[in-house]
Amino acid sequence: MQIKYQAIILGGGEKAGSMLFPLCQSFSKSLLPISNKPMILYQLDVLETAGFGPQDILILITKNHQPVADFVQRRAEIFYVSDDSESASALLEAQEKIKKDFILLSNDIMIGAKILDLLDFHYSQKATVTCLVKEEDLEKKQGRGPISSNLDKSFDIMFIGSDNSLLHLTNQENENQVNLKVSKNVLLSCESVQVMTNLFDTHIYVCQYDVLELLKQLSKQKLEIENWKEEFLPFIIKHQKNVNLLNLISKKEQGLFHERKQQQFSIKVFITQEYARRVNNIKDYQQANFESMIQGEKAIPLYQGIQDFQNQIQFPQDARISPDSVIGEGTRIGNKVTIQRSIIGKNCTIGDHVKISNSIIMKNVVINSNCIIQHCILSNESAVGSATELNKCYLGCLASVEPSQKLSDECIIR
Amino acid sequence: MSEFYAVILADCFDDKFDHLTNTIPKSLFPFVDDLIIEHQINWLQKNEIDKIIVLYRNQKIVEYFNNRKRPGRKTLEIQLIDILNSRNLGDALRELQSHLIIQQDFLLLFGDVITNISLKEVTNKYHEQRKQDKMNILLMVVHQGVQQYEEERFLYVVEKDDKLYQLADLQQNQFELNKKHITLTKGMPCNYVIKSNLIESGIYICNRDVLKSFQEYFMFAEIKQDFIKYMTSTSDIQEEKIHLYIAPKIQVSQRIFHIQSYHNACLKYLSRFFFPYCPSQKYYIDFFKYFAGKVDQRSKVSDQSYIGQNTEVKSKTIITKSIIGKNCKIGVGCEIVNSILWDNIQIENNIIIKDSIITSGCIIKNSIQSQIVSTDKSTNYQQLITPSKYDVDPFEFQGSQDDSFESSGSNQDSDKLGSQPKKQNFYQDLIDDMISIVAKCSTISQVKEAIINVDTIKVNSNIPFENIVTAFMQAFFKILQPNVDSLKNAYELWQEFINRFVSETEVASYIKSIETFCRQNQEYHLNQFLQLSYQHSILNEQVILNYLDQIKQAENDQFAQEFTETSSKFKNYLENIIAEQCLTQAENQDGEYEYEYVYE
Repeated sequence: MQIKYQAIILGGGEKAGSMLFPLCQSFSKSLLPISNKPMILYQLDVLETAGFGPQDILILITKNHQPVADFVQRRAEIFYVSDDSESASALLEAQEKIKKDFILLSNDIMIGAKILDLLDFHYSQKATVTCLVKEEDLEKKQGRGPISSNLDKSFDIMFIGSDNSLLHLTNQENENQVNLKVSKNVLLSCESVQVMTNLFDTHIYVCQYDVLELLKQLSKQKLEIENWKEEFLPFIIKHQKNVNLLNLISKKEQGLFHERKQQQFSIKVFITQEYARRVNNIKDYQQANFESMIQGEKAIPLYQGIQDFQNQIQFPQDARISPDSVIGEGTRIGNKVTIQRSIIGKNCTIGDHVKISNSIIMKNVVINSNCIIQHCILSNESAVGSATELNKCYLGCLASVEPSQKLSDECIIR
Repeated sequence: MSEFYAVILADCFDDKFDHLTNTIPKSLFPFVDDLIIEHQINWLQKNEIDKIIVLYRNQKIVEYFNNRKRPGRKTLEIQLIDILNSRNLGDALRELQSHLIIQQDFLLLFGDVITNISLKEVTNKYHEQRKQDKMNILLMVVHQGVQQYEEERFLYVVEKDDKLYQLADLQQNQFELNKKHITLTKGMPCNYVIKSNLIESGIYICNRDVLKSFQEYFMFAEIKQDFIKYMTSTSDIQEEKIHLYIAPKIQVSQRIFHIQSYHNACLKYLSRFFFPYCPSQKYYIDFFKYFAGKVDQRSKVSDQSYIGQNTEVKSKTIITKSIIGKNCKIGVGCEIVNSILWDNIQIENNIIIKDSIITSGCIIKNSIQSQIVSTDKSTNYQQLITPSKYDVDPFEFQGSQDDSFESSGSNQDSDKLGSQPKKQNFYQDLIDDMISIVAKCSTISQVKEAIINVDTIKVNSNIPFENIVTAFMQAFFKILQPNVDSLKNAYELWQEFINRFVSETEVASYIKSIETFCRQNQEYHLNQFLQLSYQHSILNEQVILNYLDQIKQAENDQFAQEFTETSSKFKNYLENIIAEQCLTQAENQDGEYEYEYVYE
């Protein structure tokens, strides 16, 4: 399988991390750690288990994400795209590097599904584009309600045909603006079509090489198609059965009927029940981290590897650390420290009498004594003065908080 | 089951079989071995429904039932109700309601349905639904299959429990999901399914409330277009609910809309699709060839053919997928392909019949000269008219492969003459009424009242649009004076009225009445009428251009020629507009193509 496909990871453009303010002010989104492991390594690991070698993986980034390039240099090939390009135009710029059918991933997706199953499905259905979606069921069950894969309010409405084709896709953010008009030819191609609102699009697409051709042709026609998910995908879904679109792709004459059938344009959906989460806003980032801390029966396989490698570090006897917290190497913990359900990165210094709960603390952070930190995210090399109370605050890189402060719901940058 | 009536609508209101249904109603068409209505009665009996009401328009049904003797069957109660001058299903149901026979639920069956759907499950489901909610008034029976014909092509949007949410026909290119009652929330499992593999079977189980709604909204004409559409989309609160019963895959039905479906239904019946309703076993069967007549050994009969009793087929004849009735005589060397022949037909030697329907009592002779007469409504199929004998000269054996034939005079004239005087009187009354209405109106609000008045007259007396338009034009001309201003004012005033009653089919009579008026009174100019009509959007460009072309070709008509000269400018103006429209349309075209309906 790995011979046939090339993986392309959209490493980060200008807009990457815009919803993750202030964590990504001077820090690439791809390198944000979840459970102390940078996000992009998750994707690279998943691809490696599926058999993709370094020569098959291509990461598209802009020049201001140089640290990412340095980090992954031996595991993938890097290609720099221009600064203002979006997902689809970035693909166009990299077209010489793309030689086969490809699988397009975004850099912020955490999935537990097996890529090989997806590739098998794509091949067997002879689809042009296959989207990986997760089916979720948010009906209130007993006890706590289930948590969605995407904590945003927006969701997609998809029309899925009986043979798993994707016939219509709209995003619903505003109740009144739903546009549910579908072309008749598209609807008639399947016997029964379900209108589903509980499918979460993981932004992983397996595409045939022809799709790149199509992008080229469309850009020649001056149709403004920059963004993959918001513009290109709805466009090809809407015109699935349109003869003009097919003609753009293949240049040879549409000859015999059975040949024509094989060349048809179809967009399929591979529905999985496995774990998936897209980490592009703060709530999802926190949720992903919390999910990585779950141990035992309900643990998520994706994160289990990390939990096994947790080093034993030394901490004083009177420190109360809950078993599901993750503490990185080289961290020094003072006396009478309470840590609950938190992730602490490497080489941190935590003073005495500190209470940390439900927080995410990255590398090289200094927390002075007598602090209370709840529901916060502290980025690399930040510092918190003594006797400070922080509640739901987010600190950017190199930020510092002065001593004896009580802050709540704040974003602090340098 | 004791109170359960079955209502058979033993006539059709469309004109697909026009030449045939002028004399025999569709329910009395022979379907392979028996009449359609007999098949339906048989089916109803097997499903334990004994009370049948037949709604008819044609007296032939009364004659038929009076002479009907079917030994060995249980006694049925068959009531015949005359639906007089009903022009659509709605009127028929209103007529039925006025007889006050039906007190509870009933089964509505169209007169052209052949089916083997078992009604026990259907009625069980219906009663269950009624117990749950008194507002479930209609249960529509559908079966699964590939939608073949235009009339079958609908998209069914179905909710849980097979409740019908929306029924969309595929006239336009886009399908729009009705947003009024829909609730889409994140993460909920799917509620709505859009199905395109369901086919309406023509069987509906209705409550008495259905009849009441038809009476309330007396504009309802059809079940699908009006009633179901109203109940599912336009009503503000979806109180009344319509459910679907989806028959399991072995139970099918076929409606006979037009010739193709007629032939297809016959073939399906012969291939035992409608098991257990199949041609009788007493005929000789050889793998779906049924024949009880005498067929010469040197003839070839293909499968899916049926040859009735006492029919003689002589040598060297090839019969392919055709159905031949009783007492026919077919000569030597004929070729009958994909045709339906009724009873008592004589066909001489060396005749080819393809894709035709030949009704009872015809004699088809052979002669050297070939003469082909085509009927006006033919596309691929041509229709024969009825029962009197006539002499026809078809083609020779050697060459022509065309589909035939002929029409002839029939004995209908006497009927027409009898009814004409009545019609004329009635028509005169209408004109007088119209004149009085028109004379009174001088403001736009009065015109609106006039519209309502005329509407009620139309519905009460079932007058076709055409008569109303001609009557109105007579009245209209009376109030005009021969100057342009008067014309303009009159059109301004009556614009809404004319728009309401002159639609595409009445345009011809509208223009015709103006033309005759202008011919008679030289002070009025046809040109002005046409331009004003165009300005007020009563006529569109294409119609006017067609009319102008037509009148140009009239020879020896001074009026026409003068008119063509004066109207040339207007004609150029219209042609320019049409050219512009074509250009803009060409830019916006999408190139959608028809998807072949093959489910893999």
